[in-house]
Order: sequence, then C-alpha cells, then structure tokens
Amino acid sequence: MDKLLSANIKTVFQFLIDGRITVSELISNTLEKAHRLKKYNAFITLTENEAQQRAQQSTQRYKIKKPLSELDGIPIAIKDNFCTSNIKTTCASRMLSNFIPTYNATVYERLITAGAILIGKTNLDQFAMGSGTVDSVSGPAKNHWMYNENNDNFYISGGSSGGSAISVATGTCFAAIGSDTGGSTRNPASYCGLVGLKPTYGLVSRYGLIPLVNSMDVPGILTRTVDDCVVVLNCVAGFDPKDSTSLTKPYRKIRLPSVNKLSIKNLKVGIPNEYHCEHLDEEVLDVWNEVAKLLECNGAKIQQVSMPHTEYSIVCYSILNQCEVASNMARYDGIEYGFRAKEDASTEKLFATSRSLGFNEVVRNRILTGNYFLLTRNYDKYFNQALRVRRLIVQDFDEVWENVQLLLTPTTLTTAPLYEDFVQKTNRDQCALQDYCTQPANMAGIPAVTLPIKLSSKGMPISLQIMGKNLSEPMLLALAKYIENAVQFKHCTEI
Amino acid sequence: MIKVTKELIKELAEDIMLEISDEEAEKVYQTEEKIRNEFLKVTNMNVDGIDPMHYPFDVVNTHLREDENPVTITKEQMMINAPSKDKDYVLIKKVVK
Repeated sequence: MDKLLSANIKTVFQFLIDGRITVSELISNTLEKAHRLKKYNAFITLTENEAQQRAQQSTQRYKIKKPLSELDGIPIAIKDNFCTSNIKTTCASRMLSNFIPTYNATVYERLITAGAILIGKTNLDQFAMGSGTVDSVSGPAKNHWMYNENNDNFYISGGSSGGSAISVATGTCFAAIGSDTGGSTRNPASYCGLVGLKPTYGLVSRYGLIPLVNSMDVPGILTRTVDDCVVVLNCVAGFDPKDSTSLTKPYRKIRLPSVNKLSIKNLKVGIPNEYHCEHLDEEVLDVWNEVAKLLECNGAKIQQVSMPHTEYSIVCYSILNQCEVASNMARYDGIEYGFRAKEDASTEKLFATSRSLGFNEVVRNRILTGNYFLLTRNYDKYFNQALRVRRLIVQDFDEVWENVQLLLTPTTLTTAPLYEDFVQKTNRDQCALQDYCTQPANMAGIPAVTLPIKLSSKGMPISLQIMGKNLSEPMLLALAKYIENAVQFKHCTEI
Repeated sequence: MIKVTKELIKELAEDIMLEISDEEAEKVYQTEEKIRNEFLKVTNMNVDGIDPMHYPFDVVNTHLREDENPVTITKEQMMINAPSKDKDYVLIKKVVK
C-alpha cells in the first residue's frame, strides 16, 4: 500500500477504476499513515470522520462506475488558513484556536465537488507569517529528509506551508493546498523536494483564504509530480465571483503533452544576473548551471538577462507585507469570535489583552511595524515609495518578457537549514533571506513553479524555480515536466 | 520627521490596542530601524512620474455583483464562534460600573 500512496494521481485513479482498491481502503491507509508520522507535525487537525464519510460516498460512485473526476477519492490536505465549513481553522494561532468557519474556501469547495477527500488541515507559521513553519502554536513541522529520531535537531520544512509540504512529501496524501504570499508554497516545496506552484495572481480564488497580504496572496499547489499539479490546478483555477480580484478570463484546462512529445527547441530561457546573489550556496549555483546547460544542449536558447530592481524587492516587500498585515489583523478583537482574555477593567483593555495574548510575538511585531509605516507622516515615504518601486519591479519583468519566454532561477539560496540554526535569526531576517528569489513573483503577480533537481552532499533536496509571464502556466509547467523527466528526482515517501 | 523611540512604539501599541513589554518594544524598535536602514537605498531612488502600484495588474474591476442581498451567514451560524453568549446576544463583561 505504501507504494501506491507514493504513486501519482493518474495511477491511483486507474487502481480505483479497476477496483484493485476501494476509496475506503485508500483513505484508511492514508489516515493510518498520518497517525504513524505524527512526529513530523504536518497536521494541526486530522479530519477523520469527514474523510471516512466522504470515502464511503466515493466508493459507491466507483462501484457504479461514475466517479466525479480523476480526483474522486484522492486524499488531499489543506493549509490551516483556508476556511473549511464545520472544521476548525486555526491559522496555527491561539487567536483562532477554536474558530469554526461556516463556509468553505472556494479552492476547498472545488476540490470536494470534484470528489477529493480532505484528510487534514496542515501546520503553518502563525497566520502564515514566516518561512520555516517554526512559529506555530502546534509546534514546528519537521522535514522528513535526513530526520533522526534520536536527535533533537532537525531540518526545517520551510514555510509557511510546511505542513502541506510534509504531508505530500511523506506520501500521506497526493496533493496539498498551501498559500503563497512571498514564497510560502515554493519555499517548503523546495526544502521537501516537491513541485510547488504559485499561480498567476487572480487565477485561483482567494475567497476563504484568511488574508495576509491581499495584493500578493495566492493559493498554491504542492504535489510530487508536475502532472499531479496540473490535475489540481485544472480543478481549482478559474473565475470566482466571490473574489473581487479573480480574473474574469475563462480558464482553459491545461493538457500537457506526454514526455516523448515535449520539445524545448528554441525555447528562450533567461538567467537573471541579480539572482546570483550574496548567500547563494555553491551547490545550488552548480545545479542552476547544470540545468541551464541541460536545456541549452537540448535546443533551448539560454540568455543572461538583467532585472536591476530585484535588489530592492525584498525590502519593499517587507514594508508592503507589514502594512497590509497591520490592516488585516485589525479585525481580531476577541468579541464576536476568536480568543478572548479574561479581562474586565475596560473594553479597551479587553481588546488589548485579547489581541496581545491571542497573537504571538511575530504577529504583534508585524502589526506594530506596519502601523508605524502607515502613520500619516510615514505613509508616502515608506508605503507609497515601496508601491512605486513595485511598479519598477513589474516593469523589469515586462521588459524581460520581450526577449525571453521563461526565467530559470534558484528557489531558495540554500537547502533547508537546521532548526537550531534557523531560529537563531529573527523572523524578519529569516524571511529576508528565505524569500529573496521567490517574492519578486508575488510583487509582479506572475506564475512560478519550483521543482526538485537533486540531493545536496548533505542529502537534502536542491530545487530550481521557473517563472513566466502572466497566465503562462501551460508553458511553465511544460518546461517543469521536461526538466522533471530529465533529472528523475527520487522522492522519499516510503517511511 | 519624529524620531522613533521605544516610547513612541509603546504609544503606537496603545493606539492600536496591543499590550507590549519594554523588551518587546525594544525588538520592534530594532526591526523598524533595520528596515528603515535597508530602505534608505529605496528612499533615495528617483521615482518621479512613477505611480504607486497597489495590485500586480492595473486591471479595472469589471465584475461587481448585482445590487442584491448576497449570501450571508445566519445569526445561528454567527453565534457558533462567539466566545461568550446568551441566546441571541454576544456577551462581554460589564465594563461600566
């Protein structure tokens, strides 16, 4: 069974169609594995009753040969910052530790409509503010690569969608939904050896995703293969009237050619000079060069390009992130929902104590810093200035697309750090380093995908990122599939 | 420009209803100072004629919904998450003596 849990969605769908396994059996095994692998702390809530109930319904559909889609009966996981009706949605925080949404996020609604089965809500940094999944009230999510039970130290999963990454990477489910504001899907996908897609802004609805930075948040997809990623994207993408930033252009389902029909001849791929930056690990650089060479040898046209405003991107991102966080977190006061302190000195004191105890230090710090930059006297100097530079960063991308079709970069500057090393840094410094290569895509709204290439000398996954212009997902994923086939990365799911 | 101090940060915290310790105010101060220093290179950039970009695309929103009562949650649903309640009312402690 473990082998089947490590297979791709297409294979499992065929097993279900052929009756070689039932959905109920598949889900039981999945849940058993989730329990067995609790040590990695991937899940905040396991949705066993919900999963078993849906599994029975799905089993019946297969019995009468009427599955809803190729996702029918497929176990999935969702980051715990997406609203799921009648299922706790905590954002890994004390503030929402007992919050039960009354509606479904659109991505979840579309997945269950297609028959997919939720097995659990996954761990994250509190309110998705982090890049390590180390700041959760449920404790850190642990990377399964090179994990040693006898050692307290471990490699971080990356974040903030670390739980989603671990759930897929260990073969506990076949796909997971994360969110991606500055790299929160791609970073853990990179550290855990997965495919991680940040779609074009507005292509996948944000409705029901508890907001962090409204102008950059997108739901992300984590899978073990590019084909699986396409299956999930085809299910969740497309206009949603409930999201005012949803793109209205009709979504055309992606059909990638089979591997033997994929060609990269004359594909123009750019290598941006500015991503060859300080702190870039030698091994990551070598892999970047190797893959560029591989593409060139197979007919792609590789070209160095320059994006001069990249160096300003991370600090502008920091400002914009904190300003939008300051605005978004103002809704939590502990009155109608959320954590409420036992405080009765005054209404103001009740609000203040509830907010202070309900949020961790990272969240409080970002709220305060954001409010400082939003003060009338600072608004233009910091917030508006960062927004103007954001336009220059977007223009850099627009100019690059006149010469190349896609960009190839590292996803992260290093492989996953050890927990003890990572937590020595402040949350802000962690993110500034971890998000360097990923956050420009969020500033510009463009799609980006990460995929694993090989293992480092320490045995940890090294990944690369491909970026493309808006709505270029078909081309982006086709190149990802080509590279995936060429490098044949070996996953580590049978634990 | 008013100089940033720990006192200013504590004042700001009070305005936005957060309670923070002196130690935490110091950390926030350090974060802000670090960002402001890193932002100096951005502050000095010439951005004359460049408009702020709030969203990644300059797309006009063309799909406003009809002016009809949208789907909202019921009172019963809303009350599920209230920390303290009495029938139809969300309770808070009496704060006026």
